[in-house]
Amino acid sequence: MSDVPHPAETPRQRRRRQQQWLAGLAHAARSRQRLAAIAVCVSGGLLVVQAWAIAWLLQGVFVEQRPLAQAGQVFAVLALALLARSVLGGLAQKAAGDVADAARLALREQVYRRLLGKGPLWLRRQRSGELGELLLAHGDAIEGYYAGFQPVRVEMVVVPLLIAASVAWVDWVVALVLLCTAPLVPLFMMLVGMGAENAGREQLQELARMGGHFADRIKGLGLLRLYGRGDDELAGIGAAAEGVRLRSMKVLRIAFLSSTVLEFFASVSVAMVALYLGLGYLGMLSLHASAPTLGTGVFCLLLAPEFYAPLRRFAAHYHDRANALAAATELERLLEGETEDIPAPMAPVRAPEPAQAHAPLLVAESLRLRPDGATHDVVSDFSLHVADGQRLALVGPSGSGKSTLLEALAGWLPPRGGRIVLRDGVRVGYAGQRPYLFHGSIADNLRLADPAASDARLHAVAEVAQVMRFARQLPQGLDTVIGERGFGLSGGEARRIGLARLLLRDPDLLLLDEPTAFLDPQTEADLLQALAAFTRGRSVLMATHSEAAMRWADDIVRLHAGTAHAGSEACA
Amino acid sequence: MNRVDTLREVFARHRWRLLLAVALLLLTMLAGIGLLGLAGGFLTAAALAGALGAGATFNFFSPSAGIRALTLARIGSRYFEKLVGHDATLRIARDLRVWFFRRALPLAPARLGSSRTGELLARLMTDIGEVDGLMVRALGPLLALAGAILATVLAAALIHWPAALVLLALSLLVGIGVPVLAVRHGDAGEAARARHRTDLRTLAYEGLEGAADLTALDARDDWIARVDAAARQVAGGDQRRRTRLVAGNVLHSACAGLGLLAMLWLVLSAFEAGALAAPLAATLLFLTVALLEAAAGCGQAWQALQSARVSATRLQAIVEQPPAVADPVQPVALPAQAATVSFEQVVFGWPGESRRLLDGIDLQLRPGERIAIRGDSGCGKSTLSALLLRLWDPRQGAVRYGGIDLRDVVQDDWHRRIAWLPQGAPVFAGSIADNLRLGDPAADEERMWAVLEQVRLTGWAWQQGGLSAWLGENGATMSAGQARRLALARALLRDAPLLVLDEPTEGLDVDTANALLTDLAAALGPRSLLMISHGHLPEGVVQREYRLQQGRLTPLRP
Repeated sequence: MSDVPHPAETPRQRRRRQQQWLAGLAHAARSRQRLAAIAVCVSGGLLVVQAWAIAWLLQGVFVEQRPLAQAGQVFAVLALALLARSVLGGLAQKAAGDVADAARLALREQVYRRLLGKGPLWLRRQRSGELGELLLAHGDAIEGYYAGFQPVRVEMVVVPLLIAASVAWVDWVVALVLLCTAPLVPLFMMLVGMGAENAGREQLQELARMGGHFADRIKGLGLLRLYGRGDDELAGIGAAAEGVRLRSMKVLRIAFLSSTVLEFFASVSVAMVALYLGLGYLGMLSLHASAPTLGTGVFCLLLAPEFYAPLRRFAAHYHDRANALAAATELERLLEGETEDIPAPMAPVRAPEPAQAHAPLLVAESLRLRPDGATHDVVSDFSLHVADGQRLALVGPSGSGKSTLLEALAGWLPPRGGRIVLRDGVRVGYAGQRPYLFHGSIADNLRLADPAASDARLHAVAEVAQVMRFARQLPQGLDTVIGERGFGLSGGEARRIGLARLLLRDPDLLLLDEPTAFLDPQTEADLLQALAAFTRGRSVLMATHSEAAMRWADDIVRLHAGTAHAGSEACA
Repeated sequence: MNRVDTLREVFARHRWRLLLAVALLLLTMLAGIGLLGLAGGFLTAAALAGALGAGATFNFFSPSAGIRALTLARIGSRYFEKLVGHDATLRIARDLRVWFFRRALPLAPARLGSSRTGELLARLMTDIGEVDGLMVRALGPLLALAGAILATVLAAALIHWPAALVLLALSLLVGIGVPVLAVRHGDAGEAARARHRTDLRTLAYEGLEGAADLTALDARDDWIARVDAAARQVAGGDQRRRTRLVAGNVLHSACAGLGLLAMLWLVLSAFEAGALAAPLAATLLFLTVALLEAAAGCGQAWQALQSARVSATRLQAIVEQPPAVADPVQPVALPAQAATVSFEQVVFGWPGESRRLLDGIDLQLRPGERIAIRGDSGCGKSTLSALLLRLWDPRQGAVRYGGIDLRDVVQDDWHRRIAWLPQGAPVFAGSIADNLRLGDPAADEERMWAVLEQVRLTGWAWQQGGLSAWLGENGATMSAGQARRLALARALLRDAPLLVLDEPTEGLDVDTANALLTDLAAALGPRSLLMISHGHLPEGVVQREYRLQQGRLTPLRP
């Protein structure tokens, strides 16, 4: 999918573009795709050979009274055809499956890069669960398109024609019957397909909604029980599921009726073929000079259902295409919005002029900042100089923009005015208030920052950030599994891990957001003391509410609530 | 509600509908097989009669009437089979959800609390989806196929008994032998596949959730590489699974081809030997073709059976855990007035662990008192609140209310006295009013606005469009602080003398947390409060604080 939005686009054009995108996903597996198509078509051709062999045997033995012993060659041909069709069928399935796998892999790789490329601030606004589903659910949704729909689409064009041609060769009337009824099938299929597509989509949405309702209630099951609401919710779930059933059945009745009509036509035409042959045999209907032979009849009767089979398979796989297109639409919806051109991470605007040895570490001038998604600026006309080895406490009431300022200095939030200049080569590290802990051990989480860190260094930073204080109590110390599926840590503990992670990167300037919040006074004092020792020579800017942290700092930078009076007043 | 409520019963409740679906499927199969057999025999007979010039005397009408009847029967029965089958599946799906909810309810939150993320839920949804189709997708087709095989073999036996033997052998091979071989050892593969998919989902999800941290740590490319590797692992598993499936299919069609050849040889040689008339020989041959076609879907049915069984086992493993506590045989009534909660020498350890998580806890919470328990993660704070809620019983000692041991009280009675605000309390999909009414179903609008005022959400609720404003799943339209406040409002609506808060500020930033705690103290009124908390609390929120360390409580200076 391209990045450009498509404002004036007809549904037809959109579908076309989406199909091109789907084709592009499977580009790497083009040869496998061809192989699958060829295998399907050859297998269709062998069907004719198979029918011919059976017809020849019946005709030869029943009518022409040939001895069975002479039919060895035809038996061999039949055996070969049957065997080859098994193998070709497997081959086609395997090749088409490989195409689907390749496409899914391509989708997963592409989409994930696109998502992460959108930047942390964009992602913060999204629901990660839904985005994460893109990789699995939508990946699976396109599987049927390559494994089911694509091969059948080729088969539907080639095999019925092949069958019609070979039937015409033995009896043109039968071929005519087949060819005359054939257009009816796609016609009805289109009607069925359109109806079923809409109906199916609605039903799927309905099912998803019920599933959501159920999951929602299960998640809060404990609360519901303790609040004495269990029985009511039980009735609610039953009623919701019953509603889905009633609506689904309404839809399904129509869908099934349509497919029955389709089947009716296929059956009627096979019956017509049988009737024509029967009457021909008995001399009641003669469009030819001579009555058809038994062999002709068997040949036609064996092939007639096979003529319709690809058409029916196509109808059955039609929803695969609809699913894939729906997935493409969904991907577009979720990925829409221009990609943020955030500067490379950790690299705010660099000094345009060559580095001066005596320039401050960081200079911010007349900054104007607006948090992502907010309607007004929270920081305006703010300036700041950070010198080497300086420890600054950033102080201000709730909502004064402390976190926003740190994000901007870290290079995540482009300023709406003013500029941030870093001395060349300076590395900035930012530890937010709510670090994310990945599933894995505490040590794994720390090593994200430096995969090659030694155990001793890991312990050292964990000690400084007061991680060891609680990690010692945990069943396996630093190797205790935490995160989504592991041991739940408190926000304060997570923040300390975030700090340790940052220390491991050893940046020149540390931007810390409330690193000591919710700590008891002793732990806070220990943390500040250790941090001072560890970051000697480094600069620290720490947003804080804590008196102890303010005393710890060399200077205090105050942010005032409201945009009008924002400014800095560094006091010694 | 003491009777056993099993998964089997859910299915048994729909047995007639399921039987009807199977019968219709059988009818469809039989009509299809009969149709092809009759048409083949009829055509052969007609061709031979025509060739002999006996066309005029040939009974043309009864076979063609039979063909017509079978065609229509097949179309009709297939339609109704689909209809009845899907209806039954949807009914079972409905009852399964209700069943699962009903069985899981007494287990929550004590037994289900440990798996707190969506992973278990996602699995449940998939599992229920697999199990509801057990009859219609798996057992039904297999039963109907067995019936069709039986009927066809009997019909063949009437015509030519050796053919019946070939047909029986072929059916056993294709219907049971090959599919069972194909699904054998599949369990391990399925389990690995599920694991790899979970890994991919988790890695992808975590990368998105932690995108900011990855960016800050310059670890984004490493993470993408990990996700790619997980995706390739999933693809590898899918490929192996497909290879197994394809091998099964090839084996199936090769066996079917072999069977067809054998039957062809058999009927032709029987005809040659004069043991079988040509039309009957053709009938047998076409019966075989039709039966093989009917058996084509049985591989899928076996696979559906396998995954349904695995899923059913997983569901049952969840609901068949015994509840952590049981109601007493002769319950004691609780005092009507607010009374003192007391922990008396309470000792607790998790079942199967010798470690004492709580080792002699003594605590008094008088009416109107507010206390907080603090401590590091894993010190047992949440266990303390679980004992107070009587989700578990102490190993030694007792938790009492007005002197009455909680073990002698009906759980529902006790829970009515408590407003519990768990960690990460959920906001349910529904309106603001729906969410509030969970606290008190009888609450009128006035009371709801009053309680929203107490938690300072009035402005927000107006902005959303009033009490009927819809909150998306998980309250997607709210910030974390607002969600916490709404949950608090819901707890306050419960007319309960005791409020239990488990980490009410977890996940909030400092400013939001302090504002919430200050408002909380003001909103409590005469209720008593037990708060479990990690951190330092602003002044005035509680009257007493304790630290929980090594299983014991130590009072902290206020």
